[in-house]
Amino acid sequence: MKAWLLEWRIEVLRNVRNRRFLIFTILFPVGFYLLYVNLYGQHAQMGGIDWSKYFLISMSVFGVVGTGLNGTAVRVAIERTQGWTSWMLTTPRPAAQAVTTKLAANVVVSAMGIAVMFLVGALVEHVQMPVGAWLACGLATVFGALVFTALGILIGHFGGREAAQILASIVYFLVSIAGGLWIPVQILPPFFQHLALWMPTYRLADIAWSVIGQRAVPWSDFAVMAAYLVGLVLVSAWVSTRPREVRSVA
Amino acid sequence: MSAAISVEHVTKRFGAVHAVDDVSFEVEPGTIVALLGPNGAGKTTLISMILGLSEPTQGFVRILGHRPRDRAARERLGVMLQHVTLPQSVKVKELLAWFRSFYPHPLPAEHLLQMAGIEHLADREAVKLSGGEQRRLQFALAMAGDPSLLLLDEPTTGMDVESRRAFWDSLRSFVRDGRRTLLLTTHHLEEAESIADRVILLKGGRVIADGSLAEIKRQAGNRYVSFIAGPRCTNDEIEQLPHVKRVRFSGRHVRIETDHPDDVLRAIILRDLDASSFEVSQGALEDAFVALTELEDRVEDRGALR
Repeated sequence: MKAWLLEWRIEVLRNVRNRRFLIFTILFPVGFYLLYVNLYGQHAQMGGIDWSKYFLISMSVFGVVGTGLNGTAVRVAIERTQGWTSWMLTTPRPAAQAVTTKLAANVVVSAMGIAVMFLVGALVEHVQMPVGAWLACGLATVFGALVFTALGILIGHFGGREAAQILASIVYFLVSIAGGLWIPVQILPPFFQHLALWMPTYRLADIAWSVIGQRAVPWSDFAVMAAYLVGLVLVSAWVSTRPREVRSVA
Repeated sequence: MSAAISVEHVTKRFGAVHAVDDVSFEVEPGTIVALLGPNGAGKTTLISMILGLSEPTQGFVRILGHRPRDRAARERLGVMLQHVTLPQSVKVKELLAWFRSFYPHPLPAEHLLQMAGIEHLADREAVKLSGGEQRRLQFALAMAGDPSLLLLDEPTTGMDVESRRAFWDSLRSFVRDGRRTLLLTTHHLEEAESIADRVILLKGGRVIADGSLAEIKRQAGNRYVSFIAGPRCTNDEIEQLPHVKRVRFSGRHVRIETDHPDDVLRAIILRDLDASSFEVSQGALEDAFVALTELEDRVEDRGALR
């Protein structure tokens, strides 16, 4: 347990020290949030709630997608193809520790990103919500972020550093756009509205949008998120821990 | 007491290629073994099987009496691989703490830093160190668990002459208490010669020689007569000596390869050549290495002709 906690702490530090953390988790979502809220006005309505609240959720989810995909995929690819993972296999470190510490570390990092977003929303754009709503939205997003971390780990297993970086960027933009984080699905053609229903990005944001709009959260949001979460975590844990044949020691 | 490493009839095939072909040997605890061979000899494949990173096609490997993938084996194993990119954004002391946390009885961090000569780098980011410094850090990490068995694949790659010497000195003091076993590969044969008790020579996936340094040199059968040639000694005089197979001049220093060193010496004295500082030897490990691998090539060529 002590060894697990130590590795978890190191993984959190590695994330926070990385330039990508600042760019994808903080700068991108905060920057776009401020830009778009001011473009359309705080009090425009979208999906039955204020635009400043709606888009705060969109960009918070966009932030955790970036954290999960961009940093993680590249790091996993480097470790896997450049000797580190082979070396780790020669130590007594438990096989699952690499994947569990990475998932747990990203929970912390996502929480930090969301805290910054919410502070910007509350202080700069004067978003006001009951404490319960802030907490519910924050917690849902933090745990939903696990889906994207697991997806990042999985992408890191597809190829080397370059391949992982390109693939992660493509998936990052595709799931963000298709999930209605950039342009709300309400103003998109029906095809995109149907597509969004299958996106973890849309489903995660919809949980928070429902809480803010004081609607009941559709059970299908939970069902789709749970399916992605269980599926991706299991698959990423499996590819990370399965016994593998290392053809060369490097 | 079980062998530190036991390799029994191990074969590794990649398709039709036999990367390792029926290799067997045992390494006694407390010995230092150099695994040598030209590029493509199968050293890396063999090491990855000893480490449990790949499975033999046939045969089996035991380390410290366990299967290589058993936790019990890994707790007592220390490893330096050839090409490893250290994780980004991690400090040297954090990496050390991370490795120490894997093992039941780790060595103290200060001791490890000191042994690798990197105390002054503890707060630096590991990936930003120079190649040689990273290598020394990897050595400290390999030692973290106070291993009984150390496997070092080309440990001195990227080190300068000074740190290379310091590295071998600290390795020697670490290993020479008889409790630890060391298996290493290196391209620097004089380094292998200075530390190894035993040499296993691999070629084309097979063991072509296995024994102490003296045995390997005897098997190679090279004998050398060396001396310093004076100003009156001509090249013709040297080349006309009996039983001369090859002559190497390095400035005034002359080295003659021969099967009959006594006759060569006798002739030099009788013909009164202008020479001094005589020495008869079996040459360096490098000479034996070249002779044995070339001999093996000739055997293979003859086999191919038949």
